[in-house]
Amino acid sequence: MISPRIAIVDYGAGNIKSVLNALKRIDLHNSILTKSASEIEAADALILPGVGAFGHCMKNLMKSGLIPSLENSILKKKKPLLGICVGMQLLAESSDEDGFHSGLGWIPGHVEQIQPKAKFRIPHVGWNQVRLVPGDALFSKVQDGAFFYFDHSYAYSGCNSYVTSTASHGIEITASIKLSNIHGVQFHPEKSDRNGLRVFRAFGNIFSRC
Amino acid sequence: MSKRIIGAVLVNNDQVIQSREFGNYLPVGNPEITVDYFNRWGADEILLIDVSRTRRGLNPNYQLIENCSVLSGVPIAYGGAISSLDIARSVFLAGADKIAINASASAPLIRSISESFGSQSVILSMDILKVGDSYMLYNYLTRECSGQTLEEYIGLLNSWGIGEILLQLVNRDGIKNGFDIELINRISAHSDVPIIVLGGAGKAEHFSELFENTEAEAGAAANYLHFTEHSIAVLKSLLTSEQIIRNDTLMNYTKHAFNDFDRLKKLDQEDLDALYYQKIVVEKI
Repeated sequence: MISPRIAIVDYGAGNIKSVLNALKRIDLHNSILTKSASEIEAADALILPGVGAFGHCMKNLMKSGLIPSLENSILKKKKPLLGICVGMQLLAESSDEDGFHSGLGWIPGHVEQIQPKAKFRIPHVGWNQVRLVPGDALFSKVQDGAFFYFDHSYAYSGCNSYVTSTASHGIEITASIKLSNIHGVQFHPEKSDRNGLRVFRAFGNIFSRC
Repeated sequence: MSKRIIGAVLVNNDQVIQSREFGNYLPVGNPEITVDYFNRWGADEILLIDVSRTRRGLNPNYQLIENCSVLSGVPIAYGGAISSLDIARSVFLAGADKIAINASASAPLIRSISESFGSQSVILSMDILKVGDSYMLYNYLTRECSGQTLEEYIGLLNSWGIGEILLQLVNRDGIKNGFDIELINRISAHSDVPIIVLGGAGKAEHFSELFENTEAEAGAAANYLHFTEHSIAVLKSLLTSEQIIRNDTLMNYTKHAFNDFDRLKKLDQEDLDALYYQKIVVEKI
């Protein structure tokens, strides 16, 4: 089996080399970091990372000029996409982080500050167990209740039918979303040890099955 | 949310060191190998602190950060000689997920890093010295205490946009007599962000005390974890009955017996015999 060409979109959003390192660890050697529209067009599957503030990331993504080729690949050609952390939040319509910001709007919903109950601290940082909604191929290789690494203060809230897993931090937090070929995970699979690698493997397999 | 066990790697002149009361440094070995083993043994996070760069007037060793980052499947926080926003950017580009910045750094610098990279990526590192009954902020470079009381200092923090606090008690560094519960509770009462504690771990029991008697979310240790095989997996197996701990590596000792020093006891002959016939399938992810 030829390993899929996975393009990690580099639009100046923090530490994205670790995503590439993780993919290489499971022999997805055709993976690249890219700033180029043509490489995005040529890829089989895409990863949209993101670290930092929503507004900052969205501004960088717009400045990169890559949105048209991303729309062409993802919305038209239906290539699998995995948004990670803020990269997942950008898929929503908007966010409240440091004022109102518009997102890509590829999955209906909104990003809001986590309002925890007393005793639960913010940011939601560390390893939390993920409760799966059965049926998402992305989680086909992990158990319900598997630990993943989170680090965020804002979270997706929207229609439950897009939510494929949740985590509990006093309140329920959306851990992943999905709408047809578009996937987003709030946790960092590239920093979630073996469970993260299992998610990347399943993501690679989604392409192979297409 | 599970409680985190963090493997601390203190580096001096590119060598891992064992430290005692912030002064006596003994060489331990190679940082990359340490990070690799901490990963295999199930660390929830790696804390890489270079104590020599500022003192020697050098920038961080970016190559070292990159080497460690490639080997780590869990987050890496780096601290040492982060004296400007550009240096912080280079540290993130080298592969660090968070930075630990000393409390003696200027507030505008901390704020600007937080605005550029998000507050979740900034850990404020506070070194604290206990003198008599009072706690004071300690500067490891000048070896002096600041005039501010802890409460005054923490009052300032909330406006800086930090994601976590790393609390180190100088008096307990390398002493192995447990974490300072009183200090941790004083700090956590004044702060809403997660707290990481380093300094004092000598037995699994100390981590249990930490998680039961304080709101700290993470316990870090260096010396306690460096010198025994599978140290983190063993520690986690000793803790799982009381706390939520991520214990999903290939090494799980929850069913094993331990001696008074938290060391694994030899298995019964019957169990050893049974291992002969057990087929262990290694999952290829």
